[in-house]
Amino acid sequence: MQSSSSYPEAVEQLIAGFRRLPGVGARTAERLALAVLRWTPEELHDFGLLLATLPERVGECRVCGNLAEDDLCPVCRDPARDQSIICVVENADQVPVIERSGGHRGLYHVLGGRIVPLDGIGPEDLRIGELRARLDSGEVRELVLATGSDIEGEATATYLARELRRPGLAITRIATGIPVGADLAFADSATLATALNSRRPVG
Amino acid sequence: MSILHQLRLRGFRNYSRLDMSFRPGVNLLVGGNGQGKTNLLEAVYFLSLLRSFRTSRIAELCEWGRSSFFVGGRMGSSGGAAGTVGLAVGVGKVRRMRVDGRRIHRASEFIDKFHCVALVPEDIHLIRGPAAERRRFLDILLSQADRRYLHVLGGYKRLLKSRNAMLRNSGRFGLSAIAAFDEQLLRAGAALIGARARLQERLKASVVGEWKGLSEGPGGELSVEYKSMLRQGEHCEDSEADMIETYRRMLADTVDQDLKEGWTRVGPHRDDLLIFLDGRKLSAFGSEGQCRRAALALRLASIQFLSRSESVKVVVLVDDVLGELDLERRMRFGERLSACAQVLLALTEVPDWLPRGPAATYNVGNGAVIRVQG
Ligand SMILES: [Zn+2]
Repeated sequence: MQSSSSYPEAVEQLIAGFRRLPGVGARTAERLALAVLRWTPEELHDFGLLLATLPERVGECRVCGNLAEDDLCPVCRDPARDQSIICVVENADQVPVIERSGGHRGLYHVLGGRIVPLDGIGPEDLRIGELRARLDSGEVRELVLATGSDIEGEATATYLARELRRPGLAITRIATGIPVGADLAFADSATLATALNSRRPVG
Repeated sequence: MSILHQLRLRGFRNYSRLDMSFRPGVNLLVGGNGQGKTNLLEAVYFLSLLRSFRTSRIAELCEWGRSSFFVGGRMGSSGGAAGTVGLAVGVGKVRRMRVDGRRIHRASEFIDKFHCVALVPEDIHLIRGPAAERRRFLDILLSQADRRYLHVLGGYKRLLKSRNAMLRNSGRFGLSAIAAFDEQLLRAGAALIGARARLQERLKASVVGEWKGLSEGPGGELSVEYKSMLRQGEHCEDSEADMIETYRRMLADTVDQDLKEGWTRVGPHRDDLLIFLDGRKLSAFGSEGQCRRAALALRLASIQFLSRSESVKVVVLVDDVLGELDLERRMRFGERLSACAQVLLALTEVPDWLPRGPAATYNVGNGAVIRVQG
């Protein structure tokens, strides 16, 4: 591709930065960079500070692994949530998708991925020990496995159902509505609410 | 299901640029050896199944000096065109597939917009080649008949690769992760075996008659038998649930050995389709002529299998498979072809064994095709 080398080095770097974002091509990155250049120095300073302090301000929730600004995420801090149900998801970006569906009033547990043998990702790479510790506390009565419906998502659910099974704990799997092979992030809220309401036992 | 009305090639083998149309019925492609008749059939086959019957190397399919090619087609009922497919393939690049102008990303959505069966000299590998050739024969036929088969097959292949990866890295994964993936492996594997066993029953029934039609005098009895270590009974009476239990037990019994060697020894990826003439294994004792005729009988049986419903049309590609047949056998073969919805028949000269004149005749030479009749 022809490079638009008429820009100063700093602007080139800004364009390159935007290009790293998902769904942003060369043209869009250029437009975004030029838009940012028109901001006031104060606006730029505040935005820059926000970006620079992200690593120290946003981390993982100590309990569930969701994104959190303090050591607890908003869900874990909310006393109105049903403490007896935990919905297990692969990644933190699936939490807001399920939240928007309104189908889940319990807590979450973010695994940080799923078992992918072809990428060398095994059970120990996931936050399964933390989940087991939460179950040991004895308050949880149902585990909803909302991992993806493709091969690795299914296998991870099967693995968890077998490893975590214990008396007094119901383990269910979100059942219908999600197309086979689909990514949870693409499922719309209505579909997801149906899926959550028609979960089935697994293991 | 459709037949092929038009074919467009750009930079494919010896065709820089070709736009041609085909008729329903028998299309005769006449030309000397090395003039590009087979290349035409290969292009049509590629358009149907995203693979060649001659090579697995994309570079070989590109015109000399180029590293990509395009194949496109217009399909429809025998009445007229109803859809288009387009395929751009480059060496080391992601292929670009279009159906009715829309970009398609999964091979399973593109594949087999028209059913294609090729009768080619390479078919002898069906008899004499390794078991993988015969598994591929079954897999392609079943994928054509039911797209869900292709989906399950793709899943099975990924599950098997995953399992082997876990066997080689068992410290990281452990038996419980292997067992979790095995739940899906068992189901996918059992579904493949069940479908192949049912196909075997169909082939077994029709291959007898096809063989008789190709044989002079009492040619013996050709039979096929799907062999899987997971099928206990002679026929497909074992229920899928029984098979899954057998499968589960065998995987458990062999997992220690699998762990030692890093691969999975039980499953449909080890199966075979055995071919017998009068109860003896054809690959071991059959003459070259018998093996070629048996392969032809299997292909004709495949056409029968695919044409089992009225609405299904099969595009049959025929290249250089008649050497073994005398005139009477050729005439019977010609009758069989004439009953097909569409045939592309490549020959060095106009045949004297077709029951009636072809729908169209083309002269093929030097990277060009000229319609001379029809
Ligand atoms: Zn939390």
